[in-house]
Amino acid sequence: MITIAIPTGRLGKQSIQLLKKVQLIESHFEIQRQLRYENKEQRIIYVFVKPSDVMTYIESGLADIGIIGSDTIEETSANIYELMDLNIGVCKMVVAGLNTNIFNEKETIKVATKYDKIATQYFQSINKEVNIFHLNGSVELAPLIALTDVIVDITETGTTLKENGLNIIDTISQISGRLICNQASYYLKSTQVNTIKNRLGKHI
Amino acid sequence: MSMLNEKLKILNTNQQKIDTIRAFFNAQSFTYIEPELLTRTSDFIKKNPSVSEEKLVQLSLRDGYNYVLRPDITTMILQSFLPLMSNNETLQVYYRASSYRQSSKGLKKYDQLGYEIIGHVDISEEIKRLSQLSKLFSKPLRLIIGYPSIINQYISSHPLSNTIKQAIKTKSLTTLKQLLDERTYDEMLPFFDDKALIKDDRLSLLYALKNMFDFELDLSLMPQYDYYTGIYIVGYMEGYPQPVLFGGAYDQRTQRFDKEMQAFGISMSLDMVFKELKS
Repeated sequence: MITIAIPTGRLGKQSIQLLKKVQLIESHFEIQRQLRYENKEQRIIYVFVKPSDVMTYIESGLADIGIIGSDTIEETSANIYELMDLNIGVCKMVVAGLNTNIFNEKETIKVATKYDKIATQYFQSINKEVNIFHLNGSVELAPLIALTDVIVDITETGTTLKENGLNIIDTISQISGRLICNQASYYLKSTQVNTIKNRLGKHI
Repeated sequence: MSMLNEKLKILNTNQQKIDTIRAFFNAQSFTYIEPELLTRTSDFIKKNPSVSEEKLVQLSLRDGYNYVLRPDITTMILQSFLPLMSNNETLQVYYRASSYRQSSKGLKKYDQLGYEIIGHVDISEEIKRLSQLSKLFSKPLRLIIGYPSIINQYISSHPLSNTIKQAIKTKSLTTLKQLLDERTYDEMLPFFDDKALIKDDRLSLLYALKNMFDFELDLSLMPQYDYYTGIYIVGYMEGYPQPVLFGGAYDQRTQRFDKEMQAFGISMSLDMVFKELKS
């Protein structure tokens, strides 16, 4: 038996579409409010968890395989293996603000973000001093109320940023859904892990 | 059974298991040691410059010095024994001890059982010893062996070598492709393929040993610590999400103690030993 952790939300819906396509989950399956689903024929248990919890499930071995955005992998540096880019949930990590020239105008930039580590590494790489303000939601609000100069956040189409008058100043990285694996499961359940990986790989 | 009796029963069972371990190592001419608990912070940092000081458990004593509570067992052993050794001597020791680190939640204690060999190290003998040791457990111990310095030579001079190492650690080919030029990426790709045969003299012994012992070669396996310059080994067991055993060859570490000697050590989770060692 192998356990796969699927994030709830948009990435989860795209993950299920992909798993249906490669027949790892039955075509009649619909995600509603269930937390666990078993595909007895394929000997797979699916658990549906908050995106921020997928990494915990994998690292602690509660699930063998999981699907997660590359932003979470970069931010947490967990002891997991990343098996492949699933090319779903594609978006980008950006720096955005009201003033696109802010880097030239201020020596120290105030940054609001949920991604402290990614933001810190990015500003270190461009030798810019920053004060990071960690926020858990509505990050776009921070520059609007002059709490910070810019934000570091993920955006898919840029619509929310535009609606709030924010402009993209730089793109830090491309984000997409990744197939991840618990390190022990990678070796101890290698046959099942590779079967799932190969089936997904053929459809990407 | 009362809670006290339950506890005493567990302690007795654990003692029997420790006796089994002692018998195993004593039969192979190992000496049991108790690594020092404290060392001066300045001495530890000098020997381990890459360790973050904020992760050490430090004490200020009345002699005016700062001490660190055994952050790493190997350092304590090297510090105690290397100055006494001549170049043609070999030390074989085993221990049951804890190491201590600061974590975001306070003190973190790692209970370990392990062994170290300093002096003459024969890798074939060490793999044979691990193979024999694994037979003491009730569940199969899956041994994975890598040789990190071989893959590291492709990236050591790269300005983003730490980021690349992290990508190798997580086996993220997507990130590696983004970070490396096409030629280096293509050269490194076979390290992630367990069927690829990488030509390197340092690996010929491992390829030969693979036909004799039950282990898996993973040439993209990266150690938690940078000091493993030869083979690096991890062991996995069903029911444990993280390695239950790790270690390898760390010859260059003896140079920090002004000696040029071979060294090899293995550390196991004491919790796993107590739970899984055959009665």
